[in-house]
Amino acid sequence: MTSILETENSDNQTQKEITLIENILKKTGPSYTKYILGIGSVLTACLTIWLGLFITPKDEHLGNTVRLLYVHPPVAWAALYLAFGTTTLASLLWLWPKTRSYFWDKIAGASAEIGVLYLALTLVTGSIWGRTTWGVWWTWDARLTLTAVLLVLYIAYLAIRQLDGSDKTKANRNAITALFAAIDVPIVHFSVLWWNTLHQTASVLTPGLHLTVPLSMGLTMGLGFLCTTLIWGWMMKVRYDIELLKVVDSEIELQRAIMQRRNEP
Amino acid sequence: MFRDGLTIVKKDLKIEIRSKVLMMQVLPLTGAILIIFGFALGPDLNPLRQNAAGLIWVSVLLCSMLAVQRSIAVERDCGGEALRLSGYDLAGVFMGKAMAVAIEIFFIGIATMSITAIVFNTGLHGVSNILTEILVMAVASLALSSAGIIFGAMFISSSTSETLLPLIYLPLTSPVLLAATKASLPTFTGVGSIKLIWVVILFLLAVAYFSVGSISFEPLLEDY
Repeated sequence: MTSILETENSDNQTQKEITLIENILKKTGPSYTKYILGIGSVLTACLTIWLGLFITPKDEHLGNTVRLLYVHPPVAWAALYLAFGTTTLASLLWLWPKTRSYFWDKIAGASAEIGVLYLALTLVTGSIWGRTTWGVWWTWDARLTLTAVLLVLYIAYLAIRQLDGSDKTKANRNAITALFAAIDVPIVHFSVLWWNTLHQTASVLTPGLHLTVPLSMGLTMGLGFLCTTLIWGWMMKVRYDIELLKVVDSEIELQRAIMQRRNEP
Repeated sequence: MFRDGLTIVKKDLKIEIRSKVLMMQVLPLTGAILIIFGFALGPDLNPLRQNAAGLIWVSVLLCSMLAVQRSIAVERDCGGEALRLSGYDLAGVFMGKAMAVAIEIFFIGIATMSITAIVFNTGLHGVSNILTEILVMAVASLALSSAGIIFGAMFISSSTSETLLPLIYLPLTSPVLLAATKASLPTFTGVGSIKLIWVVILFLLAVAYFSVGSISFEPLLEDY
């Protein structure tokens, strides 16, 4: 009698897990969100390239180098504030007992990966800007140095995410590391005010919201910001789906192992 | 919580005094690092004098990592289990361990400063600068130990702690290194006086690391 009940329970469990897998597979399939974000990203990227390279004027002093403005500040914004901001917020939501869910840990990890990519791009585009305007690929300027430090910090965060442990231990470790890494973000932000740096302070849009560049340049730059935000959103969705598929994969492996065990003589 | 913290401070310092690792291994290492800097930048004393503040803090940073690893190694045998099962408030345990390591780093720092003043022939300039420098050393020690203890505890049962700890600890504490170096410059160069802004930044960093550490130590160890 007990063995019949055990078999029924385990069959129910298997059925629940199959339903879970089916639900996840439905979620990770084609969706309107992914299409809208993807098409939006491509459109805004094409528009930014077209306006940035062919429509907006050259700068009197900087020449064509000024076109880096349409790439460098948008990727920096997406890395520092959007991606790492999301990682910090999601980590806080994991640590807060009332909102604790593995969803937040996955979101934090996905956003940090994209943030690292964007921050590396920020350093590369900044380096190209530095070569043409300051004459050097790299200088030990406070903002540049602190940004490089931030990149290493988030690479370390991604390394910590790969460590072994139970799901809860891993999520705790990830969230705490993210909070410590986030302390460096305001330091990077205010570095141009605290130190005499080569890197200029916010100069395109004044604190009074006045544009200091022609409207076409301002609009192109704004489009650049929209483009990096949409790409971040699209990558977040794709990266999160991959995390869900990993759950499916481990569930399938588990079911396979259980079936093999059951079929053993 | 504070009483638990005090117990841990006493325990860790007693272990350190009995084992003499700080005295016999970490302090000589500080001397060795300074001598290596001397080989690399010397024999001209001018670059050594100009960079003395930075060299001191790099030495302190490297040695502080050893102090952190040492403090965690004491608990490692049980993979952090002993700390969790001790019945002590875990925030208090964090405070105790961070304070004990901060005291050790403070002494390493004072010793490094004294050795530098002699071997790099910089001297120490201005009584007020020296007093502020001691304050800077104390605040920076707390910032370094707070960050170190958290990540030391995080990797307590990990086989890759030797590589992961420096990877996260060095970039994380680089703002402390930067602010402390800037604050220490006048004491060793004799030019100007210590700017309050660096002391304030150091203080804010110490408060941030200590607060985040106190909050996060419990969730970090709860599942081991």
